[in-house]
This record gives sequence, C-alpha cells and structure tokens, in this order.
Amino acid sequence: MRVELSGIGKTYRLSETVEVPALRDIDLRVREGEFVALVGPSGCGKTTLLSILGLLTLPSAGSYRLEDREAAGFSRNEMARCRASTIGFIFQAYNLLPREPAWRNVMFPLTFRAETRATRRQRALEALEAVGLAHRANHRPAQMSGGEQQRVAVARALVNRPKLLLADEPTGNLDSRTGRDVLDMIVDLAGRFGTSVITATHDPRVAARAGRVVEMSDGAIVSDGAGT
Amino acid sequence: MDWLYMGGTLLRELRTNRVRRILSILGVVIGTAAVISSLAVVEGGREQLRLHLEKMGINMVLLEDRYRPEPVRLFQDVYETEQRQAAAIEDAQPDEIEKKIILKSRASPGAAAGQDPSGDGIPMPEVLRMRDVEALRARLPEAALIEPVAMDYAEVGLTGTRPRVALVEGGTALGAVIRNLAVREGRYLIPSDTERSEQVCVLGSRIAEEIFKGAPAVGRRLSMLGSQWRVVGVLQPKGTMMRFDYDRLIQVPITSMHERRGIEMVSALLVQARDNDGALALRDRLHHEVMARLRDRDPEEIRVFCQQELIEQHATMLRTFRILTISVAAFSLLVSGVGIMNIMLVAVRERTREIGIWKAVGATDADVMAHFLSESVLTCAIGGTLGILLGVLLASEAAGFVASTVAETSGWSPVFLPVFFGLSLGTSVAVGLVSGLFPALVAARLEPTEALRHE
Ligand SMILES: Nc1ncnc2c1ncn2[C@@H]1O[C@H](COP(=O)(O)OP(=O)(O)OP(=O)(O)O)[C@@H](O)[C@H]1O
Ligand SMILES: [Mg+2]
Repeated sequence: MRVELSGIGKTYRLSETVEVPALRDIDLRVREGEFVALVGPSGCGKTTLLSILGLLTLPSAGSYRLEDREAAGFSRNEMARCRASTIGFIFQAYNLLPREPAWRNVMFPLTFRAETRATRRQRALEALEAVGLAHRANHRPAQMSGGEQQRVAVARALVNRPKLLLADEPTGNLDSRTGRDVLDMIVDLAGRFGTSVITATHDPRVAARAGRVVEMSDGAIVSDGAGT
Repeated sequence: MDWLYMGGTLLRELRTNRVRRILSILGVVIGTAAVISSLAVVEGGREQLRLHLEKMGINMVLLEDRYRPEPVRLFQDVYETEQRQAAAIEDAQPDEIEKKIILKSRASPGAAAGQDPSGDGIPMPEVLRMRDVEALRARLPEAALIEPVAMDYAEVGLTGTRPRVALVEGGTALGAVIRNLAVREGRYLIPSDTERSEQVCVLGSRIAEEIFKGAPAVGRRLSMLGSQWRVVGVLQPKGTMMRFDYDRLIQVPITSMHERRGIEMVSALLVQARDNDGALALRDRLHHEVMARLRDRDPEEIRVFCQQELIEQHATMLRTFRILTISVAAFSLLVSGVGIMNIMLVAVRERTREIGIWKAVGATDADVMAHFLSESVLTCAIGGTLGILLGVLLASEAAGFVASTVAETSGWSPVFLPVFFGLSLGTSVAVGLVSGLFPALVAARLEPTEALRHE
C-alpha cells in the first residue's frame, strides 16, 4: 500500500503553557511492498510517527495519504474500519488483552469482520502456528515469556493480512534466532501480499534487512536512504 | 462484530465489582417490582370493578339509614370483628365471640336486658316505614324499582348447636330482581311471604354451608331472632356487592323481621334508576324526598351512594395507588441508575487499556459503545428479572393493602397481562440504557493512543 506523508507535525500539549513537539515537518513516501526501517535515538518520535501512520492518533499538522485517500480527513469510523482491514500494528509494549488466551488475542482483529467463527478461529490458529506458538494457544499473556508475548502480538498483526504493517521494535524482546524468524515472516508477507512494512528499531540487523533506512532525530527525519 | 464472543466477555465482566453491582441492582429490583405490581394491582382493581358492574349494573342507588337500634349495634360490632378475621372465619372460636358479647352486654346493660330498642331511654328517632316506601314509589317515577331493606345482626343456629352471629336482611321478592340474585336450591322470597309475614329465610351459599355442613338446607329450620324459620332457598355464590357479602347473608321477609323485632324500620333502600344517566340525579332526589319525610333526622345519618360514585371512588383509589407506586419506582430507579452509572464509569476506567487495544485492532466507537451499553443493560435486566419475581410475589399483598387502607373492599387478586412483564422488563432495560449511556460514550470517545498509555 502506498503511503505519503507531507509536512506532518505532532505536538503534545501537556498543559496550557507546556507543549512537547514530538514530530516536525515529516515528509515520507513509502511504495507498495517497501520495507522501511525507522531508526534514531530514544525519544526521537518513532512511536509517535507509527501511531499517526496506524491511524491511532491524528497529526497536529500536515497531510497523510493512504493510497489515494486523505487519511487525515477520515472520520473516526473510517479510521477504525481502516485499522481493522488494512493495517497491522505491532506494539513496543505488546498490548495484549490480559484476560484472553493467546488464540483469542490473535483472533481479535477478525471479530470486526464478517467471517464465520470457525474461519476466524482457524486463521487465528494458523497465525499462531506461523510464529511457532501453536502449543501456547490457550495460554494467557501473563503465562508467557516476553518473547512469546511479542510473537503473539506479531501473529495478531499479521492475522488479517494487512496492506500496511507497522512494527514498533518487533524484535526488541526476542533472541537473535526468533528475532530472525519473525523478521523473515514480515519480509515474506511483504513480498507475497505487497504489504508495505514500516518498523521502528534499534536493532542493526533489522535495519540491515530493510530495503531503506530512515533516520530520525528530535522529531525530524535527518536521513533517508538505502540500507547498508 | 461477533456478538456471541462479546456476550461471553460480557458475562465475565458482570462478575467484576460484584458487591457494588448487587447493591446498585437493588434499586432496579425494587423499582421493577413496584412497576409490575402496580400494573397488576390496578388491572386487578379494574377487573374487580368490571365484575361488580356486571353483577349490579351502573344504575343502582343505595340509601342507608345509619341509625341502629341498640341490639343491632351490639351484634354489628361482633359481626364486623368476625368479618375482619376474614377467611379464617371457620376457625373463629364461638367461645370468643360469646365472650365479646358478654363483655359488650355488661358495658351496655340496656341491651343485655333486651329492653325497648331505644335502649338507654333515648326515644327512637323517626325512621322509614313501609308506607313511606309506597309513597316514595309514587313520588319517584324515575326509579324503576325500590326495594326496602331492614338490616339486623342476629345469633343464628340449629336448635341445640352453638349459634353464630350473622347479618340478616329483611326484604321482598324484588330483592332478587334488583340485585340479579339467583337461587341454587329452592326458591327466593315471594310476594306472599311478605304479605303474610311468613317465617321463612333464604341463605347465602357460604352461610348455608357453614350451618348445614353440606347437607341439604331447604326445608330445615333455623333458630334466630327468638323463633324458628324455615329455609326455603339457598343463593348461588355472588360475592361482595356494595359492601355486603351476599354469600354470608340470611334473607327473610321484611315484614316478618319487623314483627319479630317489634320495630318497623326500613334501614336501607335499594333503588334502580330507569336509565344509567339518571342515577346521579336520582340519588339527590331520593335523599331529598326521604329527608322531607324524616324532618328531625340529621341528613348526615341518611347516606346515599350510587354505583357511579363507587366507580369514581374506586378510580381515585387506583390513581392514588398508582401515583404512590410510580413515585417509589421512579425514586429507586433513579437512585440505582446513578449507582449503575458509577459502576460503569469505574469499569471504563479499569478497562481503558483494553479499550485502547480493541480500538487499535479495529473496534469502532459503536462497537465499544455497544459493549458497555450491553453491560449496563444486562446488569439492569438481571435486576429487572428479580424485580418481576418479587413484584409477582408481592402483588396480592399490595392489593390487600390498598383495599384495606383506601377502599372498603376485601381486596382483589392482581391480574398479570403478558404485556406487563414486557413493560417492567423494558423499564429496567431503559434504566440500563440511560445510566450506561454516558460511561459508554466516555469509552467510545477514547483515543487509541491515549487509552493505550493508561495505566
Ligand atoms: N502522550 C504524550 N504526551 C506527552 N509527550 C509525549 C507523549 N507521547 C510521546 N511524547 C513525547 O514525544 C517524544 C517522542 O516520543 P516517542 O514515543 O515517539 O519516542 P520513540 O522514538 O518511540 O522512543 P523509544 O525509542 O524510546 O521508543 C518524546 O519526547 C516523548 O516524551
Ligand atoms: Mg517508541
């Protein structure tokens, strides 16, 4: 899916007088099937940018085009529908539903789609199997390790075959082997379905796999080029 | 939206904040119980009125002389106490009744000595006599029928058994026509009974049962008012009309009663208007005519009622009851609505992060809203269901309470129409919707990133 940001800014208002500028004048174009790594020091605005891309929050300024549509002008309903059908999001903090078993967590994005229960369940289990957690399907998040939770979150993000996958430190809690597996899955998905992938990372190996590395600093893009 | 799945999670949520949830449900329970019992009691009251009208017609006027000669007053007391002991009448201890009579007799020696009816030496006031009835018939052409009645309370029994106190009514053959009375066995009073002052009587169905214990009554003899009376008929069950229980009434020719008592007094007139619209006018004319004949009497002692008034009185009573229950319902529903809103706000706060996750993976505002609304509606519907059960259990009590405090009837059974269950459950659902609306809106309007950041 094609993504086009121009002049995006985001300012958090903490109070009447205190404002935190998190993003400043971001221009970014991502082609269909492209794999982009966002790098930069902690607090430079990667998560904020991904949230805007994922329609989880609105930018304070600028325009955001998804394919040919202006996403900044979406209604709340359109945003929700778009999140459900075309976007997959992997959070830095996993954000799994604590009281639900893994398979239900993975199935959750599908509950808002018109498919039979059996199909939904089937797809959820397949996605879990793809991240190697079929045997943990009935475990709740608290009963799993951080890495396992991360993989459940990955499975959840992939379960509806998104056109745009946004990942915030997807390998941050994984050992190098599983990290590579997860990364392989993401790359594979991007290749097969034309999914555009944008991932924030501190991990040089992820950056190395990405076709393109965008470096941020202090809320702005400082360099944008092919990965090393 | 997967409703089955959402339903499952809903049931789980209901188990959170359980104590507070139960407390806030209490108001819904009480409120719904008030709603359904009010509906059922009012409907029962209407039904009772309908039956009543079927029995007597709307065109009846009753004139009652409140003056009671001393012996009548004495027994009336006992009789009314006994009546108040309601259904347990069969178990009423004859001994106790006797004791009361003795006590009362001591208190008023005049009565015990069986002196002149005016008892304490005060001369008897002017009362209606049979010739007045004739005169009234001539002067009131708008009255289709005028039936003179003499009321008395007497000890009644078979010779050799303990007597009981019963209400004895002296009347004429017209009495059956005007009140639609039908006999089950034997016959009713006939004109020759009154003409010749025959010592015959017609029994109400229950009193016949009580005295004769199921054995045929017609042809047997009863002792009352100091002599023997032949039973000529037993009425079909009729129930209460104009505050008289016809099933426990003994009817005799009015002339015979006057003879036995030694007082010619017509204590009531049953009058049938020629048409329904004339009843109210007839009531006033009747009172006027009677007062013209009893010049030294206090007009307050000569009471007239008509069915029309009774209906209005009944309607007022039901309205009062409805206002009362509506206030109870409104108050408890309001209080519990606030409680439920509070619980739902707590739930939204506790689950803010989860709401953020739902939204991040695609739940719309409407999905979130529906979830929280269903939760508050379900909470209230549980309370509503309990309230309906409670209301059904309490409705007869409520009917009895209304009857005894506001009306002078013995109460009635509540009537539950199917729509009442829908209405009262609907009320509780409405409380759920209203009190859940604000918290659900709060949840729905959360921004995903803000919600996810919530600890
Ligand atoms: N809700 C918020 N309110 C106020 N300030 C915020 C909020 N969210 C983020 N910020 C600020 O915006 C800036 C960017 O934050 P962001 O989370 O995007 O950084 P990041 O690049 O993802 O960092 P990390 O690598 O540590 O995850 C930070 O200075 C942060 O303090
Ligand atoms: Mg971050």
